[in-house]
Amino acid sequence: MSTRFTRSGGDGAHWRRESGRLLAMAILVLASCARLEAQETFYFGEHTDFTGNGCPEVQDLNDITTYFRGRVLADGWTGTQFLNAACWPQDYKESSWAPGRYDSILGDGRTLVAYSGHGCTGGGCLAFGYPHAGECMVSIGTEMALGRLAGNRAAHVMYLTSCTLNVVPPAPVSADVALYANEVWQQYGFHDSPAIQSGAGGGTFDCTDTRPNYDCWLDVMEHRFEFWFGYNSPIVFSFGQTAAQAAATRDNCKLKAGVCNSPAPEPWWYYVWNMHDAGSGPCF
Amino acid sequence: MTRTRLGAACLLLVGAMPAGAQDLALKAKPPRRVLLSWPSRTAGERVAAVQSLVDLVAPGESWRSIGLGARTPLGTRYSTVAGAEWLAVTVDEPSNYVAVADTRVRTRWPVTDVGMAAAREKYDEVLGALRGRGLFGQAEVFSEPVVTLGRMGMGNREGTDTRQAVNEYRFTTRVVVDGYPVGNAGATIGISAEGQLASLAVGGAEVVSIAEADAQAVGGDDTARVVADLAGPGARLHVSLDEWMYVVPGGESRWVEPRRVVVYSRVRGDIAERGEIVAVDRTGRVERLSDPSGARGPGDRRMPGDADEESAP
Repeated sequence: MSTRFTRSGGDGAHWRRESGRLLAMAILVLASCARLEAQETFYFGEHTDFTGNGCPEVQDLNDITTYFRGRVLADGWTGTQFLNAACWPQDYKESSWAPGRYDSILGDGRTLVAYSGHGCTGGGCLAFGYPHAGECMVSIGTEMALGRLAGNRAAHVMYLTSCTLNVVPPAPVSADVALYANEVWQQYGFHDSPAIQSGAGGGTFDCTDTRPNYDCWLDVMEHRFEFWFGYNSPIVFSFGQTAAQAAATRDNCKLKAGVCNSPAPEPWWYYVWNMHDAGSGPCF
Repeated sequence: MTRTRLGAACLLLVGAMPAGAQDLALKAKPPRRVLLSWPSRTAGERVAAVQSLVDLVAPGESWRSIGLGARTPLGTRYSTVAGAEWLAVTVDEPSNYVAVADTRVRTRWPVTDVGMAAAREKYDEVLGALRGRGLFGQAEVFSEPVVTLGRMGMGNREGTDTRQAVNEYRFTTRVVVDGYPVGNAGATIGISAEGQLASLAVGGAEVVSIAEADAQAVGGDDTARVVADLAGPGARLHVSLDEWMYVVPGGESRWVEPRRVVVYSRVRGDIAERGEIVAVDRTGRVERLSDPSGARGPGDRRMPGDADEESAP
């Protein structure tokens, strides 16, 4: 038997280091076991057409989730991608709070949920290009409850939108809205208004075969590799019931490798965040 | 027209100018044109490029001990080096991009923070070392760097135990030709808050030839009006970059004059749009550099449980 995890006398730093490894390994084992029980699933909603459809007229966008969908399907995941009029704000709204909402089977019925479109300067909304039942927005703080209540399956939430995880020092004031709404392993978004390349979602997913989710999100979403300007400010929040668990979530969770794809422990109590900060753009 | 393989003689050895000075320079002297193209590297050249960066970022690690070699998946975009998982290697072949990062810096609370000035000194030192490794062809001039930050933080549900820190100063510089930056070629050098080299990224397009400007293209400067109109009615414009530079869309090789590149986003009411990148030439013609794959029409809505819910073929 290896002596790797035996305590060497008097070496406190070594023991702390090895304890941290043991904790991380325990999380990895638990999360990997969960993968055996549950099929990984996704829900990708995206609005690219924001002109002439009955919602506020803003800039049309490039399509990010189509390539992303192809990459997760190729890895054996199953799920749904809805574009424009097929994607409803109600897909992300908590089903148990009002009729006509579908997060129990879509947003909160899947392992990985993403929305690609526009956001709000204060970080508290998702903006849609086509209305459904007269609605063009999701108010994250009052209408979203992913990873809890009805559905309760979401493990990771990605906001391919402006400002949704904007961090205002000294506390994550804007991001608070999303943090407290959901109970998941990790939430991914932007501190600014990013220009996102169409392959970025799929590239992030592929990267997580070997590297932690947070690391991939920061590196892939930061910029377009062909331009040496115009950097984005990607940010990831990782959660746990202790500070050490939140850090272990950050350091170990890998979507493609199947680590942390089960529903997250509830309630989270601590978070850690990591970002590449190129400024906050028009967000506040 | 003069066609000259890029050489030291072709590079005017001055730093990049701010937008205002660039405007004046354009009116005083027609800029030259450059032919930008995306080089195709052999596997051996890519391995050599990665090794050069590893030698700088992780000098204590030998080539073999960190597992880099012929089997390292350099053809893929992202990989972690076996046996040294903290060392992340990123290779993007189409954009000739190579990066190496010590990711431990991203998760470790820094013991000290040397500050921006000391980090800048380290950046200058590392850039000098990079120049000696032939990673930029014969380019010798680099723009004043843009600085971004690596940051980390923590907190809890009660709003206590809140902490945050800068863990990395990230300097991005671009190759300069004829006084103008090349938006497609440069380097990012990350210095940890503790003052050590933490990450390196280099690459991009090559300046293949330089020629005098087409006389017909020398005309008025209509860019100011175009940039002012980017906001459109009823919106507030936030500009995060506005600079003249040589640039082409990713994957395209062509002759270009300096163009005014604007990175911006608009705010309409409460809605903050995602960012856009455009290049405006001196005649006011706009090219969108943001991903051009456009909006799609409405899709079909099939609810979960339907037989045709998607799965791998």
